[in-house]
Amino acid sequence: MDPSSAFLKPFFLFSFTHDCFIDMGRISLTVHPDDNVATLLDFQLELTTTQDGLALVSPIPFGHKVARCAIEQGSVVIKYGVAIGTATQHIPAGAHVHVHNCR
Amino acid sequence: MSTTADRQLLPPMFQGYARSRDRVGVRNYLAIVSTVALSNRIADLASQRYELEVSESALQVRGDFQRGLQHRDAFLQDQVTAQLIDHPNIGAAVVLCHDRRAAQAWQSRLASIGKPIEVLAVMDSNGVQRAIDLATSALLRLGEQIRGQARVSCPTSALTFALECGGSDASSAVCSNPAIGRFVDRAVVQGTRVIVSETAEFIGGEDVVRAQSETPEVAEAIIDCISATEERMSGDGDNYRGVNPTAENIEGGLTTLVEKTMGAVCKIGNSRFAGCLTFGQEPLKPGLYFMDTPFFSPCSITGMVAAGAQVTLFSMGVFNPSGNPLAPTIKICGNPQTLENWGDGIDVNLSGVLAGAMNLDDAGRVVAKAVLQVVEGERTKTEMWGEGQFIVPRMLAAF
Repeated sequence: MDPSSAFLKPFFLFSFTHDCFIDMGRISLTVHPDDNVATLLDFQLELTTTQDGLALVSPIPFGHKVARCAIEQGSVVIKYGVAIGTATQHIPAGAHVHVHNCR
Repeated sequence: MSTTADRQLLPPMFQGYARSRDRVGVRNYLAIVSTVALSNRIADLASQRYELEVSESALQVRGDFQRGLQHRDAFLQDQVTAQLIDHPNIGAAVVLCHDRRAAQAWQSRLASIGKPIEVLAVMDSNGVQRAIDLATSALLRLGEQIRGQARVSCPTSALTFALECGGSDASSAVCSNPAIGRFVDRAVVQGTRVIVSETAEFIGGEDVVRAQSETPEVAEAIIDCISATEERMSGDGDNYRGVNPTAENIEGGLTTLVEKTMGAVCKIGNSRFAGCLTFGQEPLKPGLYFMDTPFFSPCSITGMVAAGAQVTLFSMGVFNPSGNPLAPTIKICGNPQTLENWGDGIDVNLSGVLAGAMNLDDAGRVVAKAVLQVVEGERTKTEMWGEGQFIVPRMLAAF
């Protein structure tokens, strides 16, 4: 096995089938199955859920992250299957994850 | 099953300029190189005059090159300046120095460079206007010599690509960087050299480096560079948030440097590092290389271009006017909003990936097509706007 496949870079899971769902929720991408955040990849800020049914606490801009589940203060924020930072406060599911609550 | 045609994204030969030592240029620039910041204005005025007289432009190669540097700073600046003059995209060069001694030193250093060169000492001119006149006449003579030099069939394997990203956001990680990665995987197989740099953007990517290096020694050499950078950043008491990730990275949704790293490393695809280079060090064999450089993309690109890269692949999320005047910089972007607002500064549109209309293999092919057009002479947006900078880093205290 190619050892590099242990690192699931985005393109391994990256396929878009969202055209038929376009009105049903925000387009979000979970890069790695272990990730506790997903990235929003559209500009439909008026929608309040993602295509996979996650309710959004607030409008989240293009390219920003949403918590897929509650993340306790002090636990790691995981994207690409790696710890990209630590939650500096309790982050509820559906909340915007960024510099205000993660570092 | 992949066919040969599919595996080779670039044809084995392309139309380029044959240079000394089996090197290949993708441009035939007439350059005016200002070896010290003091002569920058003369370079500027002489190239304006040249353009007025022949309706062609001369490429200015100038940085804030300093006098009075010591030790490794002096050595590096000298070395990089010499490498830039020697760069295969330059057909001929006027080299401006401040004083006669520097001019004599450059004259002997460049004696066997294998291209038409004229070295001038500005202080020998006795007058500002006279200095501009002399530099302009030198440009006219050299321009005459290289004008009309024809492109010939050259091996694609003589190409070295510099990889860079700037204004990174989430689209960089899912479109433009992995599209470059697809291109790199094929380009390396075709015998080209590829260099990726900006050491700070590998912090947190150590596992990827270990998994994607040809030998454990190469991985360790790269990881030593990463650790040294991380130590410097954490040891100086500064808060790097807002510096790296930059303010525009944060606005684009990137929260930490590790998150930025994980997107940036997608540029190397599944290829493996063949070696670890110092700033400006030339890779001697085909393959993917890591170069230890500071952050700020124009500085990193200067190192890779000094090492011989003839083309720069630049991935963007939000717009970034970085680039290098000497190695045509191909701007690649997948963010639909950036493409709408900054389309006049971007060469490759990969917004189809986010729209679901293009997969990453297609995106890699789109990148390859642009590369082929550019190496055979099509001007990039950076060339049209005259964007790009030369920056040599300093390692010692300034005073």
